[in-house]
Amino acid sequence: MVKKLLKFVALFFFFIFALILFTPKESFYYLLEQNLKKFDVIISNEKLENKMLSLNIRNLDISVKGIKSLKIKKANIEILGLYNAVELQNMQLSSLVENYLPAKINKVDIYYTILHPLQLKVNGYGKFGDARVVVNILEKKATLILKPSKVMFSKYRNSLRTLKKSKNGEYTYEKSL
Amino acid sequence: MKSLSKILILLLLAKIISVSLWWYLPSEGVELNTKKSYRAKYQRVDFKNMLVRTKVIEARKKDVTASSTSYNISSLILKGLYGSRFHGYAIVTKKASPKKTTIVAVGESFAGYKLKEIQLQQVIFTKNTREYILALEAKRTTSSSTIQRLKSNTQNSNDNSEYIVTRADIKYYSSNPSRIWKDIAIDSVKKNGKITGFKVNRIKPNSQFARIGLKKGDVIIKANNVRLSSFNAVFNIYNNIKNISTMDLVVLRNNQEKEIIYEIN
Repeated sequence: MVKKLLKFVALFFFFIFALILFTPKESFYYLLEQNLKKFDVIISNEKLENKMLSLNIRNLDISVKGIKSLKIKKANIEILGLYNAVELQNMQLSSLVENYLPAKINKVDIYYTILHPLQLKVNGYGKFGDARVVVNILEKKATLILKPSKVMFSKYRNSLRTLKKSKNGEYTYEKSL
Repeated sequence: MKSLSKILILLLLAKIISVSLWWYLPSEGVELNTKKSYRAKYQRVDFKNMLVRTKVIEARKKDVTASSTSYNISSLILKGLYGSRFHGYAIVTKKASPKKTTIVAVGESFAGYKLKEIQLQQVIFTKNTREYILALEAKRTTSSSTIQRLKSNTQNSNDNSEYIVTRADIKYYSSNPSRIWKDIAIDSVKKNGKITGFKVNRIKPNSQFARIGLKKGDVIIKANNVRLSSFNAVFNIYNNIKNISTMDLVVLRNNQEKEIIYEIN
């Protein structure tokens, strides 16, 4: 009985692996783009590269409401069912925001795992310092926790004032979605 | 053998599902289409001068002979310029009557000085085979502090719809964007869900914005012949402000369109 069950599980995972392998990842990406367009978010000029289990994207120009807002040098999307991650590298925000926070972001990881089914987690670091965001799907609430860099304290003190300072020197911000 | 056939069936099934997904999912993404807006270059033309051109030139010729000794180059003020090298106009005035501006084309004379050439920040006049450089008024007052410069350089020209704004003003606000929202509050105006313009809800008295002709309640609908129907249109202008030498705003004031022109020196 146990042997049969193990065999079934093995075949199930093999099927999932095969499905991910054959899935037209670019087409799913295009579907995502069309859905983002409904919110006036458009990704342009990107180059897609289909890997076995992931999709690599280079040179993304992201526009929000027609305003060029963000450039991402490299992105990697992995949708594996149990573990799903989006990794973004070398991001440059529009110069419009440069007066509020440093425009350069080194890396952002967005991931969702079956271990925390009600949470979407985001980790990022850049000239602004280290930040992590936890999105509670059930409560529809996002919490930002920021460990600011020295640059933030010296040049962007006004931006830090909009966040709540906690006892351990971190800054938090909560927003209902 | 049985297991192998099961694996092959699963592979086939996965492939069939992926092919059907490929069939139904979109085959191409979305690209940003930026509309290239028409922006005619602003050119200020004094039609009165054009209509009585011959008389004006004759009068100026008399002026050269009659009063060439009475005006020194330092008694002239260059308010603005348009064009490049040997084509264009200079807006000049005499220190004695600074509000009375005259548009002088290349080749024409003013107060005994003949306009020879237009450069980036200055013009060259000639008189008796000698050349005289007259720099822009804004350039000559750069020694004062930023705030003083902002106050002194934003000047209302002859009428209520033409203003001169210096690059220092723009630099001041672009390096202190928080000041913009302290001095002015602007919100988009929508009709049937589409942006039709940007309404000025508040202007701080005595701020720079109060001095450049905008009033509370004005709805800015066009800038340099571009209809402001999206945030993108506004930010396109914001991003290109360094390359713009004139700004032509059309505002709705008391349900009537009013044109406000800015010369950026």
